[in-house]
Amino acid sequence: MSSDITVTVKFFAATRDAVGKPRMIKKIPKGATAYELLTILKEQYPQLDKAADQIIVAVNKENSKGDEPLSDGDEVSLLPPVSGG
Amino acid sequence: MEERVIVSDNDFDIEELKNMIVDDCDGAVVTFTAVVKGENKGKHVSGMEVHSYEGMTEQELSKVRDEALLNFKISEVLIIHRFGELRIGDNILGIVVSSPYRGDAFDACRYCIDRIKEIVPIWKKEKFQSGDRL
Repeated sequence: MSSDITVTVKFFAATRDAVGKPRMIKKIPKGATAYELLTILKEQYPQLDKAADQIIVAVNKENSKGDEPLSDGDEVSLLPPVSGG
Repeated sequence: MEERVIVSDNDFDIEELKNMIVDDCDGAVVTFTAVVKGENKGKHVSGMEVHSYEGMTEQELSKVRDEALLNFKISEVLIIHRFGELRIGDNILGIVVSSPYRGDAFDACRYCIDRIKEIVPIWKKEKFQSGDRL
């Protein structure tokens, strides 16, 4: 049985510019949290660190502290500070 | 019920939105429209890209609307936010608040715009005539 799960990661504005794509499918170890995923991504894309001082994580379109284990098929979004209005 | 939170790449007419929610019992209707401005920090702006997060943007705008209805003596709120490529002077955001009380109508409208800037996943990127983007 695989010990990995697959999640979809979405990027917006500055995080999208840093990664160069709007979304990716990522395999991560079972039990990994969104913040562990973010750490993996920052290693892969160092620009992510510079892109936004305060990246907010959303899991399945709900704001998340990022410390809960992710589930297979989750949608994880890396949201830079918002600027609507 | 007609939609009270709209995220669209189409333009809107704030008067039409007002007519959608006005109640005969209310004596105060406050409308707010944000438009693309032609200058920012001394630099000439040529246009703007607005990005939303389909699904979550609507959901967070609904939270803002619910908070306004809970916290102020108002009858209805309608919020519309555009996304896509916008030009100078184009509408970005529209808010309509209907209330029996002018004070609450003003306060609720101000509350909505402030909360949208805090929590709603929307990102604006201005395009400058120099070619820079911010």
